[in-house]
Amino acid sequence: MKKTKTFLLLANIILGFAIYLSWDSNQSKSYSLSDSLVSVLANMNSIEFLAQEANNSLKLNRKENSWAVVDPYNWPANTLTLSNFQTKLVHFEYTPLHEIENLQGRGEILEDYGINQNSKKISISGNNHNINFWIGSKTRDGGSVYCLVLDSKVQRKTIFKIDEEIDKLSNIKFLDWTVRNFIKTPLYAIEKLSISFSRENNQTNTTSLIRNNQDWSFTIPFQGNADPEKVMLQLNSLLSANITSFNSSNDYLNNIPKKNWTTELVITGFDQTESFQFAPRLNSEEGKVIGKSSNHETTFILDADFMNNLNDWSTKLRSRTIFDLSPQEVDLFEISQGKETVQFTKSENNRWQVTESNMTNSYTMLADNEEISSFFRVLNSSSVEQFLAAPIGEGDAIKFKMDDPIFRVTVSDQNLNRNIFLFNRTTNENKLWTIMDTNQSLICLVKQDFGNLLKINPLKFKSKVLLSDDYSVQQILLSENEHNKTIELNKGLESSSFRILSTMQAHSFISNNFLEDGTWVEGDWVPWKYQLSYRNESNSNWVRFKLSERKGATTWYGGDPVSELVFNLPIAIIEEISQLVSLSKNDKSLQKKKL
Amino acid sequence: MNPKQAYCSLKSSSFGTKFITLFLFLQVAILLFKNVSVTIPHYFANSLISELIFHSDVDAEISKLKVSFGGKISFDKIKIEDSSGISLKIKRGNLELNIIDLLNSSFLPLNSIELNEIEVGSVHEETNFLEFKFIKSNFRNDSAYLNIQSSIAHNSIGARGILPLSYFKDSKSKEFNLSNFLKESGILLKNVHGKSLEFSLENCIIVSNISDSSKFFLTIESNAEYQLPSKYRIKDSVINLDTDQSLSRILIKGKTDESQFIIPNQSFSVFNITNELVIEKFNQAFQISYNDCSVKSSTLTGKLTGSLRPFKLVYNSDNLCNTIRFISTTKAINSSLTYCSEKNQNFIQGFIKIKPNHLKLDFVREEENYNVFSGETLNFTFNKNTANISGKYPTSFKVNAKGFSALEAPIGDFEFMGEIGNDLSVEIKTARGKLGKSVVEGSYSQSWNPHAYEFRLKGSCHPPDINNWFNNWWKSIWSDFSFSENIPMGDFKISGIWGGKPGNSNTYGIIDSKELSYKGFKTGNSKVKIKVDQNSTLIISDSISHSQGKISGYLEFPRKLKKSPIQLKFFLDGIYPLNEARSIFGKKFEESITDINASSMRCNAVGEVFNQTPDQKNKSNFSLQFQTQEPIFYKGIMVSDSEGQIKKNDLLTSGSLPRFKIADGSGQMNFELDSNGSEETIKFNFSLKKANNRLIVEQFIKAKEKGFFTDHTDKDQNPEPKSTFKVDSGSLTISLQAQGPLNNPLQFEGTGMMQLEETKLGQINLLGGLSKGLSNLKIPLPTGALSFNELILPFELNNESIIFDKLTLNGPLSKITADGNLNLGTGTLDMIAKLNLVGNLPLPLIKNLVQFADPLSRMTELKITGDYKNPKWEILLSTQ
Repeated sequence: MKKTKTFLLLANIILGFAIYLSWDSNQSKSYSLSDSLVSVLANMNSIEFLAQEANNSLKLNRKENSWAVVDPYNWPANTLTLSNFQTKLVHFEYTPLHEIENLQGRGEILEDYGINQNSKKISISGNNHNINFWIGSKTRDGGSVYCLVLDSKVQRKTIFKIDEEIDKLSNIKFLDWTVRNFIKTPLYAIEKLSISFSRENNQTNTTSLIRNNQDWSFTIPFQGNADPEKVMLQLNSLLSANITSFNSSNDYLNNIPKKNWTTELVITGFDQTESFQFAPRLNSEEGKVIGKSSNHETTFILDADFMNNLNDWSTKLRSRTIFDLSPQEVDLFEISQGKETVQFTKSENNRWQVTESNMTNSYTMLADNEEISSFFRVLNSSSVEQFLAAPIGEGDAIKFKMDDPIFRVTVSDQNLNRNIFLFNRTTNENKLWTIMDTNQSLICLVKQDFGNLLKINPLKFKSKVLLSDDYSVQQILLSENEHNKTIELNKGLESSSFRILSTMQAHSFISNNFLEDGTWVEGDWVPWKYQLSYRNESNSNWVRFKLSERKGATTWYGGDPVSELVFNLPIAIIEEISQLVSLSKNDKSLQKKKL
Repeated sequence: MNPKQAYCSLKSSSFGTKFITLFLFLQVAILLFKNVSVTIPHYFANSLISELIFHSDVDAEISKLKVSFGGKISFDKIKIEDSSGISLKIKRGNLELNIIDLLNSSFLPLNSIELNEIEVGSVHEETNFLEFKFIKSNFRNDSAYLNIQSSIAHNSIGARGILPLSYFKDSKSKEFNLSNFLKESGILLKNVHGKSLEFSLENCIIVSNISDSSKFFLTIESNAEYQLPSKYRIKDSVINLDTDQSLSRILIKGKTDESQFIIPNQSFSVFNITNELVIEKFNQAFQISYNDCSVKSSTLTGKLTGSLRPFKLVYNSDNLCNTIRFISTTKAINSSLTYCSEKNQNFIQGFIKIKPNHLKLDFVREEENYNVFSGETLNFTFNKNTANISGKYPTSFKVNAKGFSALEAPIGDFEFMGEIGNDLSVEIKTARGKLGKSVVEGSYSQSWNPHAYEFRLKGSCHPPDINNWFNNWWKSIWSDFSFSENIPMGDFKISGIWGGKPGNSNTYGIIDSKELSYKGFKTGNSKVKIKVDQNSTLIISDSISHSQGKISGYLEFPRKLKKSPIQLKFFLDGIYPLNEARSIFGKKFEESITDINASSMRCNAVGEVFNQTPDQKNKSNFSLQFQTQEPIFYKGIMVSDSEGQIKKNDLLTSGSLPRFKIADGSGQMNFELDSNGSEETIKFNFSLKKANNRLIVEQFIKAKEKGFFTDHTDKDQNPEPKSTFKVDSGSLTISLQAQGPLNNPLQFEGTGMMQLEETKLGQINLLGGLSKGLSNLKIPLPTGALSFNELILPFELNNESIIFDKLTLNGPLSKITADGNLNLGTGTLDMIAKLNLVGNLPLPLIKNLVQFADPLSRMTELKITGDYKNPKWEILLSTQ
């Protein structure tokens, strides 16, 4: 009986041990350094690199969701470098070799794997779990290194064979781990911008700008528009300025006299304001400036060229636009030169008219809207070369000959706001004009050929329409004078030729030298070769135009016997008539071609 | 053993023994349950999986499903396929259930999952959309630790990460339709697979952070063996993706050390790119609200070659407008340019200031490199167009270029003002430019899709100045023109599609020139129209004045791409200065008129010249009517008062010259030249009446002096001495009808007649000097008996021989009749002549002859043989 009991007990113990062993082997099999790493890296809040030999260390901590380098200086970390480190670490192949306890049994010591007190060390920790790597020597097969890994969860020190890239990861390059620019506010979020320079006599020169949607304007030292694109370019230069190194020593900082921090840049964005101060470097390293941020203790070093970005904003960033005329808003535009005046005015039905007048006579005609727009566009494109006086001081008007201007331009808008611009020449250069803007109270130099632009030939602005609005074209005849050939186009036959030719207009007026058999253009005699006749519904009212032969790709002269004006045809009409004429030539037998 | 005792002993066994025995059994059961697995029959396994999937549209099949009592499940193959053919296959799988969690009915009672060789694809496609080498997951602490190795197209993706189990809980709560899931993921994966084929990735890392609870570390790498050319290549890239659980705001930060974009004939490489992208969810749709992309440097290779220094592209979207901003601050480009898209209009504002000399950008065309920009400055200014009546053009812009050259065209200054439409079409209303010798004003239009352009230029145009701007079609028009310092006025319209199909360009232009030269043909005041379309280049003029008069006409060159057999079509009407303009119809024509020297002729010609390909050699069609005003020279022979018509139709050329004069003789000629076959044959009928012998001899002498009419016999060692004999004003009448190969006159066949009237015919260099030959025979003839004044020579031309049987040489006292032949090939003569004294001269003469030398009484014939220039004369004596 006793024997049976003993046998049963023994069998139980053996089975129990077998079960324990199987559980234990499952447990140990389930441990994976990769999984452990995933767990730590996913919740990581600290990394430390230690290179005893080089006496170097780098430590990064996570505070809330932001990573920062905390040792040897304090500065936001480069999260992309961090991601690269994490991903590579988690994807390495980890081949476990030996547990450290077993080394002695194998007759080996850690030194055999190149691991000692001076080995480079990487520590990562998160969620009360940390893993340390001591990097040893290269394996004999190359491509890998030996690493001693201590996982706090299993409290085992194991030697692993790991991809040699871990050695590269452990090399400490401080600048790679930090954000290199000191302004963190993105370009689109910057709302205010200010630069101040302290002078020796405790005076401060400040220039400030503020953003309103896409536009920027100066608030200090004057109220005025800034050129938004130049501001963007300026901001980009500031944002792109790279830190060349850091200085964490408080002693150094304290050694810089307060008066040396002469320049202050203030940037507001995301409802937060950060200021940066800059001072020349103390030591002999020329070509560098030192900067500090109101949000960080660490000072940073920049190339001295950076300071060029901070100079002269009021000139560099000021809007150079002098005219901003819109045909929709302007009601009157008047140019006076001596006794002669040309006026562009809007009629009651919102159509532009051009009036030419001198002391005794005045002549008004319907204007061409597109020509007026084009004229305004050219004026709007004028850009200030130099601000001569802003605001205009006493004597400035006389100094810049504005008391006797060559042109005087008056602009009035729908709300009867009026502005007067005076134009004169103060330099010998033909295209450089001095302009006085009375509303903005400024005198500036503008490069534009105003002599040509403002010397208006009213014919240029005359409406290009040759058939009156109420003339309903029923039939068009194109006849050739010499050959008595006629091409007939009738309404209602869906002919594109009819459609194009019935919108008869001029491209530009050349002169009013119309003669029955031709005209003179730039000294050349141009005879009439064709006649274009329009008939309306009443059959009686024919409108006829004389046409020359085609003179060029874009030149075909016409004449209106009634107004006696000579004009050039627009391209669309030139192309159409050209096609009709060539069709007619190809079909010589056809006397009348009905299209 | 007594059974009773045994029973009792057992019965009386202690509780301890029973317990130990039971415990032993329990341990044995644990060991068995833990390690022994049971294979589920195929039918039951399939029913089970169908039940689990529970969808009528989906077929499922599982093989070798095994379950162990320890909670391990394994299978060898699962195949799930929906009705559209999207399939999911898993080759092997192991699941380990957590028995305790299972008993507690907890969510996801798993310890681990391992699935191997998973394929997602379509039965209709050969390649799988997505493959997983394995998916491994351990479940611990309410999290799944995932390790995935997969591949899409040629890219292998490794992912390790942590995912909270709550994520699966949330997913489970949503209604799940496996069929739809398979269909949608099939479509998605197919698209991703297709796109991923365009990418080649090297060392790319993505880290995703979803609300700090799940984190994935991905590596993506294209397989090394993948050799196909990719559209995009990305190298050394790190991307951070941060978002919350609801994906309301996604922040993507990334950097790429090297990236390349390749399209046919062009690649664009950018280096050190950093990018920050914010995507936000508005009304269930994702929208990019901000993107800041900085590029440190970039290079272009291909048609455009060069580099661009740092630039930045910033995209920003707010309620008012979406803007894309291009910013660059380099030596070559200083720019801040904003494209703003508002509700109703898109406009550009800002500036680009380029210093072309600092910009290294080349354009390669037809294996030649052109510097895209060079010169001092090129400035663009863009503004919101406040003077925009129609609303179509919200941007106005201005371009100023100083000392600037595009595509190595001559340096110039330019000033443009224009507008840009909502669709970014460009209208330049006023453009002024001065480049090279040209000073032009004009306008320009550009639209997109297609990239259609239209130039309109007017002014002093030196067209070759802009050769480099267009393909060879433009250059080839002007290569034959040369312009004097007096630059012609031009008015041009050039339109086409940039990079469009070859030959899409159209040009219409008029050049009004005071001096112009076309293929060496100098013209005075001329108005030349140029018209180029997809079919041909047409050069046409109603009036070209030149030194000899005026001419009108056209030349039409079919475009090469049309592969037309025709090289040139032409029409001319007027005074054609042949000598000056002999090259305008091409080399072939020039060669064919080498022997004609004519300062001018009135002509009307129309025709076409074919390309000289082997199958259409010598092929051309033309009709030419001409009339000479001044004498022309053909092979040095002066021809005057000629008129006629020459027609060539395909390979047959026929000519009719009803009137011409050579040496005061009137001529006529008809001919037919057949170029069909291996050699050209000519058939002609030529007559010349009463040509002045003296003039004709003079002309031949002059022609010979000029190198015409030289044959092999002229190249003798002893050239014939120049004749000093003066021909009287006798006349020559000749007619010839013959045919034969044009390039070998010695094979001509035909008949002809020559009549030569000359008072001193015997003294001319005929048959080596007729009189001389006869007198050398020392025949006692009365004085004047050997004087001839007429030669009548009917002949037959038979290959190398001129055969004549009735040569008659008439004189007042004698007559020679002869027959024989002249071999033109060797220049030898073989002739028997009879000398007859005319008019029954008194017999004493004969007697005298007989006395003179017996056997001369038997002489009846003369034999003339040998070289025709210096023949041997001998008397044949009769044997009777």
